[in-house]
Amino acid sequence: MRNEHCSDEMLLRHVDGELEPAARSVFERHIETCAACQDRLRSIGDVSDALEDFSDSLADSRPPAFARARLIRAMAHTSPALERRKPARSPARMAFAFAADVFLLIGIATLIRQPPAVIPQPKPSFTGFIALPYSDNNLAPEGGVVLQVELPRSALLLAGVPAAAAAGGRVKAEIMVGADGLARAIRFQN
Amino acid sequence: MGVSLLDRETRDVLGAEDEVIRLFDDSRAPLFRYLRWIGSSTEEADDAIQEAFLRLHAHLLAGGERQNLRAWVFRVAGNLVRDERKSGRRRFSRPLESEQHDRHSWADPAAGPEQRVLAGESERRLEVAIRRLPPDQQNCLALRSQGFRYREIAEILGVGTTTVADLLRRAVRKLSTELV
Repeated sequence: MRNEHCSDEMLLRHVDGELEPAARSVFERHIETCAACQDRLRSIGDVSDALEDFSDSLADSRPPAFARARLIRAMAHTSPALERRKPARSPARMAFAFAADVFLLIGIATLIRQPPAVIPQPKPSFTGFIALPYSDNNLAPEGGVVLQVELPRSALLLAGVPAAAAAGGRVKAEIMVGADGLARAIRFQN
Repeated sequence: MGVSLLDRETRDVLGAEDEVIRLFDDSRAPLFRYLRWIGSSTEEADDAIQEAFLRLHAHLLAGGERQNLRAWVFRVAGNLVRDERKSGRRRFSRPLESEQHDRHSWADPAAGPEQRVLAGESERRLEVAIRRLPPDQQNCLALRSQGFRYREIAEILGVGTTTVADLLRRAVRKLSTELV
């Protein structure tokens, strides 16, 4: 190639880092001694630099946070799976759900405070359970667990069971927790 | 052993959203410049970018191919702009000349008035020369300026790598002739 000039494509590929190793070594040997190709390479480099400047001049000067938030909102509206996880709940249903969560938290706190007891695990009977209102009356036990807890007697009122709340004291109960982690039903033992 | 409280469907949805946002953060700036280069206004580029990333989200949720998603989103956004242009609706594109107020001059602000005038004239000549190029050459130059390799440009435009090299060669040769 000593007597042949570099092609335009070879010069441009060199500027863009796209020359194969074999072609690069040939190019480098030639360009060292060829003033004409050096001039052409300089000219291509100048055009490249001008194009970079032109591209930079098209940059968005606005902060990207708004566009990002807009995309996140749009994705939330177009995710069918997420939409299905937004059931319409009335205030009353939400209140019942909140009460059930209170039951569960109190029960878990009680379990944590007490020394671990060996809980007998006979085949559980699911009679006598009161469905918590937001559980869609689904008492199917598949995949769920039954937690034995102690609750303040006032918890009876939250479940709609008449009780002498003023009498104080605690009441034993079992809470059926579904595979999804939500309390589904409660059964008082005394 | 960690136990996830989320079911598989929810994990897939959240995983797709994370992937889209990660790519959005990495690619929005060069994608915006690319769309502006091929003729979109600021607002039209915003809309095309939004639409392209929503399509990416749907693509991921449908279990679509996850290789080289950056090229995927550039291809979709570019096609949106081109399709709108062909349809005549021009929601995603309109002539760049009408958007001069959105552009930043690359003239050095510290330069004197004479240098700024000369730099402004160079900008104008370059832009006119770019606009005279065929669209496929403009596209290649625009993608090259966003840092894409020849094989990536080829993938985005649906042509061969040799074609990309040839389009770029002709574009740069034409520009270097006109800007002398």
